[in-house]
Amino acid sequence: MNNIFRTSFFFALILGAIACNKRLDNYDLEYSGDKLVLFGNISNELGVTVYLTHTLPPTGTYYFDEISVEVTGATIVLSENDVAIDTLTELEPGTYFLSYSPVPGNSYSLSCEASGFETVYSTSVVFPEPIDLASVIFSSGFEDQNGDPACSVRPLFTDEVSNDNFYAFGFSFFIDDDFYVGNIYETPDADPLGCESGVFVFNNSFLKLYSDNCFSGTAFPFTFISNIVLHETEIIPFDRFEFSTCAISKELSDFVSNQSETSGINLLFSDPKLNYTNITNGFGVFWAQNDTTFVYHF
Amino acid sequence: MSVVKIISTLFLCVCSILSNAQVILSGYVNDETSSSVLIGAVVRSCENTYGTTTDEFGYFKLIVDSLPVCIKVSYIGFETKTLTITSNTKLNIALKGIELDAVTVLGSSQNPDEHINVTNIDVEKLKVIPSLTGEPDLMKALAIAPGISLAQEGSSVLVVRGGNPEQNLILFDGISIFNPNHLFGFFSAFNPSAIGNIKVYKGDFPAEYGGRLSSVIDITTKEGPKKGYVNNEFTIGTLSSNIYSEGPLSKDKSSYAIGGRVSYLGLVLLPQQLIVKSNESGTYTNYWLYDVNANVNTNVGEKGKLKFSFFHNNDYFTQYDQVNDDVSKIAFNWGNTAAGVLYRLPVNDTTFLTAKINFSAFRFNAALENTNAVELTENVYADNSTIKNINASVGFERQITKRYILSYGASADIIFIKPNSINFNAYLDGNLVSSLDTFSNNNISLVPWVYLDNEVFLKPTLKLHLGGRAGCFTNSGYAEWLLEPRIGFSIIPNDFTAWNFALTKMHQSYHYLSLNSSTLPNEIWIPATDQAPVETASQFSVGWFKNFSKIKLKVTAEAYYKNMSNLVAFVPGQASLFNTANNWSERIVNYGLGTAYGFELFVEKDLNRLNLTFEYTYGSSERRFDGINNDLYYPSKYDITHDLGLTAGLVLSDKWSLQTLFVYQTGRPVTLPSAVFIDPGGLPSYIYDEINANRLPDYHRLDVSFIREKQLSIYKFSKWTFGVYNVYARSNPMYLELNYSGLPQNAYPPLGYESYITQQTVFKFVPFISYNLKF
Repeated sequence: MNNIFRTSFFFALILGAIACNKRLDNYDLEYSGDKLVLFGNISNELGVTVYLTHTLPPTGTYYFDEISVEVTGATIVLSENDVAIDTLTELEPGTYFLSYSPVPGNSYSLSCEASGFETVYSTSVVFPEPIDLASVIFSSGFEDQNGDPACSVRPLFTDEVSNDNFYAFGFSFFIDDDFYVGNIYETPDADPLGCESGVFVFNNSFLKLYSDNCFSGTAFPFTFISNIVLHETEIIPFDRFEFSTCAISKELSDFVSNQSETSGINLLFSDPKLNYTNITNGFGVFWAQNDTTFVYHF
Repeated sequence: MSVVKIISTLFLCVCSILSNAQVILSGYVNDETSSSVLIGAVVRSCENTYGTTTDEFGYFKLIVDSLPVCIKVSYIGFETKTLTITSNTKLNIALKGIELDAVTVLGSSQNPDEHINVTNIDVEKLKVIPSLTGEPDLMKALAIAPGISLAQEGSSVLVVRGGNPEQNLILFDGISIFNPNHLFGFFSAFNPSAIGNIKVYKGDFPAEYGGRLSSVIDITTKEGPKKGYVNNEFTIGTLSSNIYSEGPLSKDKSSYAIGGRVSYLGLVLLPQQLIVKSNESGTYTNYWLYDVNANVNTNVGEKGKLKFSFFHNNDYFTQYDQVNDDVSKIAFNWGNTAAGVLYRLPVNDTTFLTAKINFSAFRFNAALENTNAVELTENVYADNSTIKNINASVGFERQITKRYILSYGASADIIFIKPNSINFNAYLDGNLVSSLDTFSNNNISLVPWVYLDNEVFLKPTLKLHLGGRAGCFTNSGYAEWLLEPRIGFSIIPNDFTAWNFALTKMHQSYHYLSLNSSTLPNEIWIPATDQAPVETASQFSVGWFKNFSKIKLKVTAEAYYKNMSNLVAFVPGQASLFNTANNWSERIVNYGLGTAYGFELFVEKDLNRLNLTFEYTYGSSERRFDGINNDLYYPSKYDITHDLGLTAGLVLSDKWSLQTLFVYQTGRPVTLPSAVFIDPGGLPSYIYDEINANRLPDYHRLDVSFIREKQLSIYKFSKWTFGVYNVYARSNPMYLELNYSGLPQNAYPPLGYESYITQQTVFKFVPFISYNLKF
């Protein structure tokens, strides 16, 4: 009988050790073809900015200096309430800009023609009213959970739940005029209702998005921020921090929620979701953003 | 005029059927040595022109034209007995056991039409099919039948004719079991030593069965001997040990059978747990499981029989991860508890009464704990789901004439469902700072049913099965009438050939939520409501059976088409567990549709020492939900286009035999991206534009096992099983993963990235061994 136990134990060990992972280089994952990807934003502070790229096959190796994902020479036209306003200018490959002051309540849309691609259109977005804030309390001079110097911001809201807004908090970290992504930690009692719908980086700003109905005349128990960022290979303090409270159009909220639901840990406990986009014939998102920005220097 | 003609013809037919002279033979078939009843024994006329099988109490009824009559009684592992019956008295037929070859599949003498829409494989044959751990797994072995496949690699969860696993009604001594699986579905919770008979209905369902859409898997446990000695059985395998005992309680009156299994997987994993706990760092996983089953059979009065049955299983899974001061722990625990009483009484020579009352419960508990020893924070999530069912039923079976059997009865189900009851507590320095307790409503549904089934031989070669069920589902103000016609028509030109055409409708009054993409445990049952009405399925099937008896070859070919409606699925992207944001009713997509169709072929060839079976199924299964896949149909995750199975059993000597199983399947559908773009943050972002548009690589493997059986003494019998699962080490994928990494490695920001697919293979060349001792 001892032999039986010994043999069974041996086989059980083998069973635990047999699982293996294998890379499938020959797996035929069908590519849906090159399509335009448009990230466009219309903002009261920054005008209209469009970042235009194209899709790539889902598997492969890509070095940014070897492939050109930016789409140049495109004609992008902004319309307000279905009336064409102006054409965006290409500032650098793939980045298009138009200086324009949007009006809350008006709707805006883009059309984009680029050689070799199907013309894409955004569905119109309505420019939102700014968020009502009582104040933003900023403090510094303490340490974060890793013992690094930290600061915190605490916005106090006055808007009502019934206003049906979508929010983002923008964090921009600068050393001289170069933008960096910094560390943001939420305090343990932050976001008790799970309102955060995701994060998004665009146009030198790191946005944390929140769904509607989370703030109603209350202070958001936000957050502390490490005073340091990774600068090339060094960790050094940043010298300027910009904090924005942004009213955003629903499109960005839907896009970011969708992105966070189709990636990462969510896939463990949920089914995949098809990508959200408001770009007809392409991918990406076009949204409106009404910012109120606070600048802090160190 | 034509209506009058039809009515007149029907009247004449009925008169003709009813007016036939007849003699009804009835009685029990049992084991001569132990008095145990033999379930599924065949009782036929000596000319092989008509016959019947014994039920779960070993009882049979056979109508003959006149006396005297010659009948033959046979059962696998027993000598066939030929009797000449001269008078119409109650029969008690005892069969004598013979030594059985491990690979022999005794030619079943069922009526030829009973091979269509029904899988009735001998349990003894299923027990020798090679299995993953060496221990017989009868549910898994059922997948060698056409139209039945496993939900995934290594799983014992069955998928029947393009349906979902939860659409199978699994009956254990008549008690519905919700999820009879261990180890995330990798092996069945039914103890193979305890099982006496398994019958799977895929279509043409008898009207007494209902409640699920796709199949009925009717499992009957063995009855212990009512006289003689106690029989014990002990099995030790790669993953678990099993002990089983049966014997008389009171001579010729009552018997017991009890069995249990426990896995030592937990013991194997325990050292890692101790190391992590002592180092206060690292990751461990642990797993404990067990199951218990028991029954007591007793005679009540001269004719009545009573059977008490009990079943219980439990699985505990824990994963612990400690990095510095952060500890996370996730735990899953699930299992069934079921008990029931079944009473059968021959009211007279032509009428049989069956009454049942039973209880079944399934629970699924998930817990997630995150603690930080420095910040003194502790977040604890608990997500509990339960379903309980109380069922009472009474049914009668009446042999009206030789050619007409009438069955009728009534039942009632009370279903208690508590889905996704979520509790969240956040602590800071031991003090509760936040708490949430949601969705703990206990939902109660009531479903009373009546059924009527007519089985009529319009002519000796034409059999009509006409019946149906009618019921009413009520739940919190929502009520729905449920009507299920069951129509079958068989042409039996001779004793070796049959055609069958069947049209059935089924309802399922509770939904099951499972993930399309994940193999993680996720067991949430929800009741039908006005927003998510009772699921329905209609199925049309046609089948042909031919027994080429001269060359010992049997062929069954079947085709089916199934429509399903009111299916339910998770909203894509919504977390199924630990989701405090929404009530479950806000996380489902309802009114889903499904279609499935296919063709099945089964061939069995007996060459004395060699037995071969070949199974092939061509199938298609699709689903459609508003809001999923742009509202278009997409392949179900159980859509298997080609499914092929080949078994071969060879007797090598008196002691040794060889069993092989080859399986081939088209890869299962998976959702993978069709493109990628670089988002403004510089990270690749994948585009998913179609659900289940890709497939896993095709699946195939060969299993081989050698069986050595030895009679150690009169009452002692041993069996060794040695073998290898996936003998040519095919890397079959359990699932695919999309990976990406920045380039070059560890560079920040990355200068590029690499994106590639990996497959996870779990069972690649798995040797197994098991030892079974009967004493």
